[in-house]
Amino acid sequence: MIQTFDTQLEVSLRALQDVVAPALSGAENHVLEQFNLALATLSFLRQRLPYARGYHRLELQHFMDCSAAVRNLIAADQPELATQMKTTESLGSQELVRPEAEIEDYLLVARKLRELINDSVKMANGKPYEAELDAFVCRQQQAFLPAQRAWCAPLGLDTEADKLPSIDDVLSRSGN
Amino acid sequence: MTALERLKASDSREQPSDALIESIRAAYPTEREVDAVFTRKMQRRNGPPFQQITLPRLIDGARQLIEANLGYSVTISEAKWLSGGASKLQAVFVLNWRGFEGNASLATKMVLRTEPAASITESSRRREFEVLKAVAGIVPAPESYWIDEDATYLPYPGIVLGFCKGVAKPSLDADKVSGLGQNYGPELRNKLAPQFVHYLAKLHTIDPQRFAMLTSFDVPTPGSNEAVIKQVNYIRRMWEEDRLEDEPIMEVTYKWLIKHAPVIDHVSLIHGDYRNGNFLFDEQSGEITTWLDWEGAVLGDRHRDLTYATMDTFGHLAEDGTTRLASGMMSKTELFSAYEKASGLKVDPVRLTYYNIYNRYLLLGLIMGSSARASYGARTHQDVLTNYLTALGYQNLSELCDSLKEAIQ
Repeated sequence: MIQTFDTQLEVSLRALQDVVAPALSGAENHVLEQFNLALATLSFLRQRLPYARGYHRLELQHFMDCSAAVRNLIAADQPELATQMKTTESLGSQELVRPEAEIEDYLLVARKLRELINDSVKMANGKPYEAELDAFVCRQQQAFLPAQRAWCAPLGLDTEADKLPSIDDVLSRSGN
Repeated sequence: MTALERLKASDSREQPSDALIESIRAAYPTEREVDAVFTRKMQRRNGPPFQQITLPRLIDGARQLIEANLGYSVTISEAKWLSGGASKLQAVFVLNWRGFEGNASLATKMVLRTEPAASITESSRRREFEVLKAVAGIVPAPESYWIDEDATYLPYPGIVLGFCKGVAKPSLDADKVSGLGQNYGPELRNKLAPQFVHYLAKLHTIDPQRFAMLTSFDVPTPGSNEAVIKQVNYIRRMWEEDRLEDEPIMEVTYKWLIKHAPVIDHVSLIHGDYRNGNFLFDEQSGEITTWLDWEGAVLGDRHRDLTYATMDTFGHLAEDGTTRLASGMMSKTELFSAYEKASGLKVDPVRLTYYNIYNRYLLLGLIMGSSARASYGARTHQDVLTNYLTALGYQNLSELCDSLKEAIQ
């Protein structure tokens, strides 16, 4: 295969930067803005494509771990939800060992786990364990935010990007 | 079916059923007009896909709208797209007309502001039209001329506004998207900052008799938190309808906001997006000529605007490298102190904490909810921008976590 994604993106970006951009001087502001944003988006894609699989595996693992811990807190009060969480965690484990799994497969399970964790927080309203669960979920999610911010950092909007770990560090620490 | 197709098929919000729409409406009651706008948004998702609207189509619709209101023929010239803003389609043109009485000969520069099929801020043109009428003569704002509330003439609802002179960004720092973190520089800042506070105070102390002009707004009852809860539900409903994926921190925040909703002591007209980048000014004199983007206006608690204007997202460090300038103007402490003096209203630290969390929740609903949904569904004229802005989400989520932890402690 000659047509690697990286080459396709590289040639497109070079054409846009070196040939199209100079020809746009004098274009209307909204045209220039959209052109520059499209370049930034393609450049982001080129930087993150090699890490996509590792990152999405990491994200799925994070939600599986979070779900398992939340399940222990709510199991007595919300047994049906706890069962759904356990089933979905198992599905996640299967996807992580399935060689042909795609990143959308990881996303699909991670999104389901997000919903189930969310449901647990919602259903805990007014329950004795609510404060403990809410605090735990915030801690867990906050612990994962540096990875999420590092993923988006090439887009240039994070004002503290210099304090974030590199995506290599994020993934190597997790073994992905 | 590919994995991508399976992922897309799992999203019940992209083509929502009537049952889903109704269940969200019932769970999270909001103001009447918000309910109408959000319901329309959801129903529209099942309609035809968004198609780029051409400038001639838009201008022809504007001409028809104006002629229907005036009762005589007009011509439109010098039409072109207007850049700026992340949510609405805007075009500027010159209207050649005979005035409201039909006996003059006028060439007036105007702006057509209309909706795409979806946007980062789904809002009511009716409310925007009314609020611009209500603030006329109090705060500099575009004059509102005509409205096409039901898209009778335009592809989507729109309004015709007077064109306002001025720039949104100083030439020395003109590359910020939507004015985020806009730095005006020391000289301009000294001129703009007092006006920034002055107009906020004027807006918040507007004569309540003017509220009668705001017929599509629910008017809060002082001493009650009912309106605050509806405004929290406005965000929650947006999040429920638009998000691509769930975020448990949003659920924790929602519960906290409902449980701690403060009563309103003084009903103010709230701009809803009062910050740097949302006003025009004369670069030579430093005079603020126009406040823009009134689509998020509500009647509510002044602390909502105060905390919004002072969010870190919109600020930057001063030349000393340590002082954070809220909206590029002055430190938070200075801003609150100047505001109390100008308005005669107290700034309450407890409500600052509440609305700080409220506004972070709002921003996240807009960024990670509506903005992501609009670009995912290819429903706007600038999907590349709405998609790009989603990258602001995780830092804001991190800041929300910090604020929430402090509040809970």
